[in-house]
Amino acid sequence: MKRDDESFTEFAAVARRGLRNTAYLLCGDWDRASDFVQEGLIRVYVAWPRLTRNGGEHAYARRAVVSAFLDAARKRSSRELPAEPDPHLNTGVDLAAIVAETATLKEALRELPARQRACVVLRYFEDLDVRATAQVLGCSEGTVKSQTSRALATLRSMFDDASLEELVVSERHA
Amino acid sequence: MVNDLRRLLRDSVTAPPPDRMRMTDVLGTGKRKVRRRRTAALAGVAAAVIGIVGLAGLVGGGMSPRPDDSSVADRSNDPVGRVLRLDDAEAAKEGRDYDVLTTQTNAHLDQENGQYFDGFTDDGLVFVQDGPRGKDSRVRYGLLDPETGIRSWLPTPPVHLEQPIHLGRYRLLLRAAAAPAGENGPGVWSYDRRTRQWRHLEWPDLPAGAEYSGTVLGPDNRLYVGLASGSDGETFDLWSVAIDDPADVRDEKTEVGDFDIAGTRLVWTDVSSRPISKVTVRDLETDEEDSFDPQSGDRCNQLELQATATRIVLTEHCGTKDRVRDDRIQVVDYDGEPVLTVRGDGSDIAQAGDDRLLVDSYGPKPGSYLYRFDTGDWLRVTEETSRYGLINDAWADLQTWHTPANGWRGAKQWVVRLK
Repeated sequence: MKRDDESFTEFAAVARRGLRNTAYLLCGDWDRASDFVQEGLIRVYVAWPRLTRNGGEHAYARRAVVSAFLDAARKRSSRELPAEPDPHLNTGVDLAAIVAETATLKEALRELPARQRACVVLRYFEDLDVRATAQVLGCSEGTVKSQTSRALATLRSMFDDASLEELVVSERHA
Repeated sequence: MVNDLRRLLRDSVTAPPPDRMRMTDVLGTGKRKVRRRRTAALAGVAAAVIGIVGLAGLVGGGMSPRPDDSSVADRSNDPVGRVLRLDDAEAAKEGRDYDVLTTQTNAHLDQENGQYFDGFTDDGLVFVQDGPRGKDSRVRYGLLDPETGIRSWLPTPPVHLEQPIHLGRYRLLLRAAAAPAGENGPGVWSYDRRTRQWRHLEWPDLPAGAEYSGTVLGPDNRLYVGLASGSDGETFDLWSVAIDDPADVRDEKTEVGDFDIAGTRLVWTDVSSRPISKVTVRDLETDEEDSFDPQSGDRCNQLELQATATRIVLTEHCGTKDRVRDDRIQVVDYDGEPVLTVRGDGSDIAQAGDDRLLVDSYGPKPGSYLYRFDTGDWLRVTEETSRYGLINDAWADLQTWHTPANGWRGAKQWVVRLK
């Protein structure tokens, strides 16, 4: 294996789990998440020599995965997500205490347009600030703010409708 | 006890199933793409340009040619005409430059929805949205007289409406937060201010399953809507529908990027989210058309267009260099002549009016900035903008903007009278 391939493979091995988690929150399906990660990593591979010169491999990979998801969302309806419970959920973990909230969250995320969903995931799962989120999405910071605000309003409504405790956003992790 | 969004997102991914993605597939496909690029690069200058565009599309996932992609060759990217910089703005003073008429503070938007100023009606009232709140996600809409503070609430519509399309003296048009399932259309509701009745507007002949971009009211009492024309989200097919006739649906046979209407003029860019080469203006009364190249930078992604009576305002992101964003608000007249360009890291158009421009900045020089075309005043009216996506609007000499409240956990909206 060439040295570039080795370094890329090592990077991909470390990054793929986190990227897949992000992709799953975007699309709601683990298999499709894997597809988006694969597509994103292919884009990373193509740009790899330049990336390793300039740095920022992970940010580039995240952007590529999000782009793959948004591309797909444009081609399909942004609401086209699996309605059935995810059959792949690992039964070895006790989810009883969190299943209602996470199920509601998953349902609520499904209701959001793709870009709003991306804003929520990037801001509150990836912990990106407005500026970095705008970079990933290739839009203005104002758009990120407005899309995030609309998304949060919808999510809160869904939690209210489900008679769950109110949804809040904790401070960003240090 | 509350539900924290960050925790729930983390909890949602604690038990992933095995990942069946194979690295050999990634490497194999990646190598084939690299080979194709190299082949293209050897095929002469013209092909090399295509290769760059192809790579940009690949990198950006079809969203845009990344302006910060160092593989894109440097071309003319400088703004034309007069440039206004944020540093040049003078601090505005209450009493000298404006008077505050009223404010709306929501202290805890990080935890709950609030009450929002969502724009001015044509007769100078503030359209107010309250909520959604409570178990049934109740939303109220009202009209506030900013002079007297008197607020009157409208009858509650059956769905959550979010985006004002037109706030008229006689009729309010709003888009639903989510279009009803199975509806061919953007989900529009009309409120008759005289009869106090809400009415759902539907056009069954609009294409099914379309993704809508922009909904603008024209002078001919028609709504103009953009329907995604491809998979890339950069161009849209323009359709129009008659407000009062559900059977009157017209394919305008025009592909647009971003579009807007001012008076009788329909204005559009050739693409969105990519560098543009053409702005077209059609007079909706005479159908006469004219187009020009606004000479936006070759690496400036078109983000938004607002048309006013005498000017066209384009918002662009022109790349990032050394971690500094090159964001621009480019103003041209209807002949395509440059009027001015506001250039600054994190600059974004907040609202374009006939006599003024409100710019929000989220970069190193944060706050709201106001340019007045009549006097040439360039003022920094606030030193911060809130982190929430609130609507800014103008009516006559009234203007709104917003600032943080309660240590960034909330927002304060201001209605001011400019002097």
